[in-house]
Amino acid sequence: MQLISAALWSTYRIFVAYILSLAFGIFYGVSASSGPRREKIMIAILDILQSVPILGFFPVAIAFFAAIFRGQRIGLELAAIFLIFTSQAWNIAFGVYETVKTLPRELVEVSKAFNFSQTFTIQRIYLPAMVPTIVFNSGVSMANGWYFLMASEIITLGSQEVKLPGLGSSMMNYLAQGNILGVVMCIGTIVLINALLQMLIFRPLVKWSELFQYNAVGTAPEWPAVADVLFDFGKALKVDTFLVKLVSIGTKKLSQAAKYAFYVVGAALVGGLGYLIYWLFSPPYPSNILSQIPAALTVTTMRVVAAVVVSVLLALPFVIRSVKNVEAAQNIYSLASILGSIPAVVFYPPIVALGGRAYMEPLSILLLLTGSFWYALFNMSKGAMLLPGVLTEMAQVFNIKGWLYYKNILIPAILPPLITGALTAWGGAWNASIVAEHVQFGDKVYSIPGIGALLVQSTADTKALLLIVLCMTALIVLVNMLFWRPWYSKAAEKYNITE
Amino acid sequence: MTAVTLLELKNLNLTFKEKGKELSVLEDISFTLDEGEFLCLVGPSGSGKSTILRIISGILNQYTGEVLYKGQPNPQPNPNVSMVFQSFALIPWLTVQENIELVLEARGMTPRQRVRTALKYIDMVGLDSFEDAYPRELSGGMKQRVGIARALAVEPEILLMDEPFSSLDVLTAADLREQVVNLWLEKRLPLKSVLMVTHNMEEAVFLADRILVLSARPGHIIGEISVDLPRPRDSRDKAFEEILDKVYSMILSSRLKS
Amino acid sequence: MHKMDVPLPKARVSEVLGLLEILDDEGGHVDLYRLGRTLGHDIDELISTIETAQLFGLVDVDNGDVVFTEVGKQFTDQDMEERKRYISESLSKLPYMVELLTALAESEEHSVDMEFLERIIDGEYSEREIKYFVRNILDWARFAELIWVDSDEQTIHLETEEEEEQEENENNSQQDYQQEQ
Ligand SMILES: Nc1ncnc2c1ncn2[C@@H]1O[C@H](COP(=O)(O)OP(=O)(O)O)[C@@H](O)[C@H]1O
Ligand SMILES: [Mg+2]
Repeated sequence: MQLISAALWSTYRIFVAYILSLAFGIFYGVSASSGPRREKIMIAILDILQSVPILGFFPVAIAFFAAIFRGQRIGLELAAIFLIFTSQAWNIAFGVYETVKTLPRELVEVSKAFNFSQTFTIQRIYLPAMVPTIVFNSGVSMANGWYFLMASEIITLGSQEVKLPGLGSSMMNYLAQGNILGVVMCIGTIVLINALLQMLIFRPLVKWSELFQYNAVGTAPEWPAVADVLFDFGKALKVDTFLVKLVSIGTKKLSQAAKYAFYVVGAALVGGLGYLIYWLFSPPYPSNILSQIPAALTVTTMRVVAAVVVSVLLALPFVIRSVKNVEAAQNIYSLASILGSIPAVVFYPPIVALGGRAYMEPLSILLLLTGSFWYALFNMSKGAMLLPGVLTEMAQVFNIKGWLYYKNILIPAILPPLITGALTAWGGAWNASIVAEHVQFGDKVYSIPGIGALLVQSTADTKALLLIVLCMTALIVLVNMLFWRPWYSKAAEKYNITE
Repeated sequence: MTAVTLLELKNLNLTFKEKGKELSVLEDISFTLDEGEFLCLVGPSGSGKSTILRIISGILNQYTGEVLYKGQPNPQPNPNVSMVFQSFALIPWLTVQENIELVLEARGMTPRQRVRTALKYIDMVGLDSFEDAYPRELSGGMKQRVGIARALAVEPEILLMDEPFSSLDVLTAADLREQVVNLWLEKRLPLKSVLMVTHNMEEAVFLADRILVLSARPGHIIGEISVDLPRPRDSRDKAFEEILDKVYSMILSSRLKS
Repeated sequence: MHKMDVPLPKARVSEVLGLLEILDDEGGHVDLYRLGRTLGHDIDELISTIETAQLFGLVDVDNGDVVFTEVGKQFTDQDMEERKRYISESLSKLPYMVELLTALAESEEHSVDMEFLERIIDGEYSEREIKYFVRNILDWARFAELIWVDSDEQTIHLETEEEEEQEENENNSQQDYQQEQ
């Protein structure tokens, strides 16, 4: 009974956050793609947001919400939803942005040549065209939301720990009591909820969403019942009019008043940020921590890189199975969504306690993997599905097999999605690193050196905390800019298989 | 019988900006489209043929010069103008019938009228029994039939066609050209004139009453040729070959120093 | 200034050689529209091929006919070696090739970036047109064995004079050419 109520609480948080993410993602993605100037700014911001390790700045966010609502429950509820939101929204926004950017010019021209009104165009062209990316990213976002659920339900406010009712906090309680059965039940419930979501909603929708792909060939997929239900439900709640409004506001040029407001808010933000940075870098310096940052960053980077490499290697066999095999790809997608939703963060502490400090190093990399592997898998198998058949047929005809096949055909052909997979795995691993290096179980503390450990140890010192998050984010953004993106565009050009 | 001018283009000029460079695309384009006329624009690719059609249909509006419809400034967009696209431009998530109904709905037709009109034009282009198929399930020729049915369904006076047969294989293109000629000759439609763009010169002679020849970018009109041949035309006809030769000579003489 | 002022190759080697073959079969002159029919009445291919053949002085247009020039007739009867020599000579005289070859000769490693060529021919052309001209210039210059191209590095290199290497390259390009046909 308690389990059911906990499950309902958690599900409610995840869904509220998901719906907010969806609305935000559509609005942000559409706005970013409707003007070159705002595109530059908004995509840069999104890049940074995506790189901020969520768990790192969570204490700051809680403090913020708690302050606004003076420690009332609603403030904590909002803080939890906000954390889940930050794990779900960015990828949806990116997906929508890319879809609108690459919307075939002809479709836009049809709407103009046949005199469609703006509302009609949004409703009949833009929104349907977003369906595939929204469905795909919803699966990813759901898994993500459950993964971070844990952290969102246990909130540390100063010295006091507040627990919001839900599966995450229940699991923590069971763990503290040493009630293994309880923990297993909680995990089972999470898996069950996600399996049901997959089976009843996302799997049929993924299949169906192929209908909205522009260059698809072959027979069209059928309309599943769940799509009809969602449509009727959406109509009844006037979701469609809301979405049309959202998109049309997003595409609008800023009015003069809005522009001023935008500048004022922008200036305030820049000012606030400037002050924050001034405050961060003005004495007194948390110098003992500052001096530890470079070394700590280096160690953690090494672990993260290891996790990324292992993730990609582990994902390869699955990806190979899904080449030209839509069925297999969809199975992998569903499985990844279900398993990826298990908050490994929860049972990490007892496992570390079991293994002891000696095994913590490999165990920490294992935890990073739970945060990174699914991303690699999601993105890589999506790319493999789109591999043109001629390549694999050619390999068969010329009997190109084994290493030669992988090295010269398969890997180059899936290199762009492989890089995307590695890039997202890289972000996921960083996120997990925050909880991987410093663990408290019972009254025992286990710790290995690293930026995550440093961060957890300095939660009490806001200045140090912010500095650490800032350094981490800067490193991630820099590597994205200097390494991943150039590599991606080079690969996308060289191994462009659609040509 | 004096021909009534339906559409008139006066001194159309257009430059695109690309990476800070100004590219002149259209240079002083002037011509008229008369009622009852099938006019073809031929020119090499990049000469601005599609751009001219985009201007007339209202997709594009940053040009200088005038476009007059029945002597008045061309309304943007003009509901009496409709368009067939080179790459079909069908909406993949809508069936054949839904694709056609969509443009009718945009014109504010009631659901019952929509269904009736859509089915009528599906029938006219010979696609009955395919109304529930999705575009992905159709061959190129069938897709373009849907494109034509959609363009005709809004019952325009002027039909614009942008290289409608160039994405099709030779035989399919020949077949569809015949059908377009038949539709045009039957005169059952409210359609008054057709303006078609192509870079296939035989196609132009086969279909057009008059051919306008466009130069390479920046496109300007090199000359025009009337095709006074009875329809249906035969490309092995002596008179046909003579006109074709004239078109070739006109295009090449402007380009090649001899 | 109009684009006709600088003669840029609008067609590839194989297209022009094909045109010469047809002309040879037809006894040295062919009706424009008959040639058009052979090419499926595609105006682009027809114009660009004739224009490029004219650029090298191989054909003329006369009264609705395409005809061999003196040089063109000779060229068609020659073997590949001599053809390459002829193209090499006339290509080297074109202003943008002069500029390219000078830059190649002066650079330390006898190589320049692909963008260098793009910059030379940059005029009132669109991105697409420039890409297309660069592709064709490289096609002709490789055929003439004036340069070689490193596609991975996107660089253009001067063809070296060393006996051995040249011979090998010659064989290669001859094979390439025959495959294209
Ligand atoms: N939106 C645009 N921005 C910049 N250049 C364009 C744009 N649309 C077309 N062009 C350029 O204008 C020229 C004419 O294009 P188009 O009308 O499509 O030619 P055609 O249909 O005759 O092949 C081309 O050189 C093309 O590159
Ligand atoms: Mg065009």
